[in-house]
Amino acid sequence: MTTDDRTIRVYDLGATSYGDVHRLQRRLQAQRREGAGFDSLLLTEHRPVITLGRSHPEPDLRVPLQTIKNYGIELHQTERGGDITYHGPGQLVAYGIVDLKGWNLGVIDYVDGLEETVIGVLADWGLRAEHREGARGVWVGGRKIASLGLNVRRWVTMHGIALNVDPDMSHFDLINPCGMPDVEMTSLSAEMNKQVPMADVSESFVFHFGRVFSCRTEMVDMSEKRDANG
Amino acid sequence: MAVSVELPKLGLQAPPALLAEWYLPDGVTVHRGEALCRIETNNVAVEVEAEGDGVLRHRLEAGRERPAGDILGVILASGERMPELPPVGELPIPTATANHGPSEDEWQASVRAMRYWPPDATEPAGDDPEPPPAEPENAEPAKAFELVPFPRKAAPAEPSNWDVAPGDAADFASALLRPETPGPLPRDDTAVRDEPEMDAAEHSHSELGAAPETPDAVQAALSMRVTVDLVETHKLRAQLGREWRDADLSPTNADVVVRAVGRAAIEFGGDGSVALRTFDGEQARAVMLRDAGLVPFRQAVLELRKNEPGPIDAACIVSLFEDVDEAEPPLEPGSSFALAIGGERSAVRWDGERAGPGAELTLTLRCDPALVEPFEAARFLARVRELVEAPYALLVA
Repeated sequence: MTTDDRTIRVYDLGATSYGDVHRLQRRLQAQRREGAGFDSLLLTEHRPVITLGRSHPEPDLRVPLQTIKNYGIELHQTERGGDITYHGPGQLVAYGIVDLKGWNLGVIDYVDGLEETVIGVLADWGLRAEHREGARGVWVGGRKIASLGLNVRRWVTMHGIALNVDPDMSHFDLINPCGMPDVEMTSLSAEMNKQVPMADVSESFVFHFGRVFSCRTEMVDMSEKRDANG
Repeated sequence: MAVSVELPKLGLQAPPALLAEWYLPDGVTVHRGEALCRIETNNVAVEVEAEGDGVLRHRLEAGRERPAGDILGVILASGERMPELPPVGELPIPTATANHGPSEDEWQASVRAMRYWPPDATEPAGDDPEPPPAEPENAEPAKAFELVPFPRKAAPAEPSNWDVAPGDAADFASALLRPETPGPLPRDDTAVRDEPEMDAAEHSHSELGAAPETPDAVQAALSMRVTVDLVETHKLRAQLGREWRDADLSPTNADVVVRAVGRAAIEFGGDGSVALRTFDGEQARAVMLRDAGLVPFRQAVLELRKNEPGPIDAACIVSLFEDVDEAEPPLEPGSSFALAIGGERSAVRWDGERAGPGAELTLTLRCDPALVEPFEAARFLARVRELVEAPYALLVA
């Protein structure tokens, strides 16, 4: 497989509501399943939201539900695998809509690749991160820094991986992330003890995604689209 | 020719995966491309689609881990003759509690050996040299695979979960660049908003009627959402709570929605029967209301409070998800509609001039497009919202 065979369009969406991007993903996946459209990588920061995996419809919370509501955090059921997680500003979320058959990739290979991409990103900041046997995501010194959940239908993926760059970590205290009561979450900023620009992390993510999956990445200029739509 | 439903191989060293859920019940007619079940492993959910048309028969129950390649079920082609199939007793359905009969591996081998679906071209010949195991003496034929006659009539198959129209092209510009506001936007009262899942449903009420029907639009499961402003609903609830103080009775949002659904169903030519399903942890409770739109409102609310679950055969099942904003309601075979009521949340309300505090919830409607025109479904949902937002009309019996 060469880079000529794999191309992915990268859309940096900026700050978004979860529902908007969720609907977009579903459309893109449906389109890709039918052999249309393009392989796409959506990068975004969500406004505060707690999402639930398909098999875990009951939120695994550490606080009363009303507290979540009081924080203004939305709650969404999704079709991805995995358990409860939190997304919010300061977290880089990467959703890949990829036709794995076209890329000649297995699902597990793709999941490993997403984790490897984040490990590459963290290495750019001098952090040594790793996979963990039996617990998906990316870990730094026993603390979880990135969470992962996917849905695959007709070998087309949706959902992806979320890397904590500098989110409000107190929001993770509201839930049992991934359904694991003992998990300790961390972020790139916390590990570095300094602020890290999100734009730099996004750029690094795109670079390492291309490197790991041997694919060409085409950045789509979203500002032009915004202008075109007035 | 029958087609197997297999647990896909997810990688070179794919671990066992959990058969998490059958989306479609045993015995229903399915079509190629429909999502049949979901398997999960390591935070990945994979939806397995039908590889052909026919009647789905489950082989394994949900909730079990299985290795890649395992046969989860079979799709029998229409009109397929039974003599081609193996004797009933040799195909017991493995269950979690079964302590008799062949092991699952033996069962799997036997199923493969029978080959009543096309052999895998990549599979080496003689892969399964074992003969099918003999039926154990204490096997119970009643639990075995009964292939004909199917107990169901040609029931409407539940549409694939989370599906959208295949032809629903992604338009980044329109999908992404909607104006961002902190709360509900000022809007046309007749519009179905908040992104119904099909292109057709994104148009206004009147446009829906004129939109051309396309094969793609009707093949997909239909799922659409609206956000409902609850300001008037709250006023009504407060007023009725005062009036019904003698009975210590106060209507909830769900009562109002059920009433609105019943009323809208009658307006659209239905019988107005509605079932309300609530969840208490893992337990679901459903109450059936025959004339949800016509009986006096107080009586309807009292009926919904009764703890006497009976048979549920309502045209529309309303599920209350208090903890989730947007939920996909399960669509029961035989029901035209399923509606989910999301949890109430605070919102910024725009009255045309200024913003103020408000409350809203999301209604999600799912229906089988084989039974219901998508445009009608969108109009139905718009009407339900209209009734909930101006609920005083619901007081008239």
